[in-house]
Amino acid sequence: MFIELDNLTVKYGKRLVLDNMTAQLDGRSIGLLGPNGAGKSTLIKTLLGYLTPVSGTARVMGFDVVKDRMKIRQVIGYMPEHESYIKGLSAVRFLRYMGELSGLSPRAAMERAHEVLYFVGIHELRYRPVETYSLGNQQRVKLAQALVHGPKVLILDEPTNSLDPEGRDEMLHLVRDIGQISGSHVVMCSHILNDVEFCCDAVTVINRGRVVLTGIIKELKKEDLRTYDVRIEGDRERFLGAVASLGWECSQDERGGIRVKLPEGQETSSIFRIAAEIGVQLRHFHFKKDSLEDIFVSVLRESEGKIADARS
Amino acid sequence: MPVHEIKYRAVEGELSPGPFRILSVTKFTLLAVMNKWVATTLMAGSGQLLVYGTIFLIMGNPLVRQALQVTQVIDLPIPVILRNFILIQLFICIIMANIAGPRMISPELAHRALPVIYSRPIGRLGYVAGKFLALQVLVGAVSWVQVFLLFLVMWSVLPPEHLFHTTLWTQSIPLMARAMLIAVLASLVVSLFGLACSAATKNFRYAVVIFIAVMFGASFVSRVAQEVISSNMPDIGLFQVFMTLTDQLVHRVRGVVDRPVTGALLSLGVWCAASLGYLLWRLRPVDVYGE
Repeated sequence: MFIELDNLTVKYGKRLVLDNMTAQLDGRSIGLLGPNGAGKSTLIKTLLGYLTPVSGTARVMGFDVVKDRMKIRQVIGYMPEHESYIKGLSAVRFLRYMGELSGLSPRAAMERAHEVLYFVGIHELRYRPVETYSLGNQQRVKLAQALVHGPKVLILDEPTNSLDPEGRDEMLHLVRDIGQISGSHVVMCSHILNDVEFCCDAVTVINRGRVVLTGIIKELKKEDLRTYDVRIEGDRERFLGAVASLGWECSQDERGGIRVKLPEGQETSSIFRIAAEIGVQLRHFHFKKDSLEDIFVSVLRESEGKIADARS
Repeated sequence: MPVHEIKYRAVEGELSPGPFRILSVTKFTLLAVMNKWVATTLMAGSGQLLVYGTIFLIMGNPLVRQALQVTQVIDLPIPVILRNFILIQLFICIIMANIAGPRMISPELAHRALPVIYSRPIGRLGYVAGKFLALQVLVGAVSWVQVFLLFLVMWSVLPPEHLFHTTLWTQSIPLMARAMLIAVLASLVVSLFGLACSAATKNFRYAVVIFIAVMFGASFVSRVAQEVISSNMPDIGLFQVFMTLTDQLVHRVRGVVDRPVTGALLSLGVWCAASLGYLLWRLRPVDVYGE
């Protein structure tokens, strides 16, 4: 595991932001999810050594965030959410600056700056001042500066912010490929679940300063072969009534979909039989597969429920 | 080939130690600031005083006067030359710090570059040290470097029978050393103060205004305190402080402006400590996000 959190508690003044957070993040690329104010940015700032924990420890690549701040910063690349450049410096000079600050020699930093700008696809603009770039290209410069020193851990905070669909697509491909080909670990913080799903193997969900879920996305999205998503044409109420009268769990969403959970011992054909009996057509029939959004929402609900229980 | 199919290699080789990273801050700060024509012009212009000083000294040389057939030249004593030189250079030094200083940190705060700079293995102190060195290159060039150059010019131009050479070890060098001390103190204080003003705001124009307002404000408060409370109160206005130091240490005008050097040095200490303290407090990593 490249990030270990052990009862990590961080406060802003008197406000508790990370509350005894314990987790072990492993995998090539990890999506960091959570609602606003959950503590994602605070966690990132703590990992970078900007904030000192009140108690507990956090380690990045085996280095302690308090004792080994400088060592951590040698192995970490950070792309912040907001704009971040120095007015008047061209992209290549800005990257060279960042490379030299990371400890590269001037020559190596210059080489890396050109190489990384080529990698992110803005080599043709590299001699122009960064403030003259479009927002999309500024995002690429931010990604490039995070990569210039070849970090072992890359932290990306909302990398697709302010990008048009095409730019977003290219950025997501870049992020995914960095995780796959560069050998770096990627931590991607985003509100857009599809982006995380596209780029990451694993996901960590944070709510109210605690890790509420961590796991491999594929495993979390395991298909449930006893639960089916059904769409019908015909008398919906009658169908729901028939299913409920058998004691089966069923629910419907606002888009007209019906979810039916078959009890043990029942065959899939039972649903077809009921439909035939009451004269409705089955237009869609598939076993349930949770989207990342479903997982995210259910985990948050569960976490909020636990907090409410604890308070009461 | 789509850009995302271009592979990139890992970094190989040794990383440089801390001090070189501080010098990187200095180097790239100067590159950013020296783009500004004002700073470049002032730095070039500041050398003019040395040229005038050189001409003046050459004219003070009897052989040169004879060659140029100059009959009337007032041979000023060295303390007077030094005093005027220091005070004029000090004025330029303050202007330089006011022009270049605010441009050093404000733009980086404005475009929130500090979070990515701090994500590198350079601490807050390293960053401030790098910025300080950058401003020293500009401000030092018009303060202590000029005094040192003036010494070299005097040493090489003045004739051997001149008082400068005859009392070289007993008077000239101690005098120049005191002048150098004042110039170093001046560059130290105005550099730290210039950086503190720059860190105070994201807009460097406001930082320029803050710089002027605080300097004049301190002088005003100091004068009022001396008028109202006690005439023995130490000066806190930078220009008065340096006037006192120059008069007491270089020109030796005791009794005319009879203010103790310790009070002036204490004032400078307060300026330095306040500026550095504010800088370090303002540039805390957690506060540089501008949220």
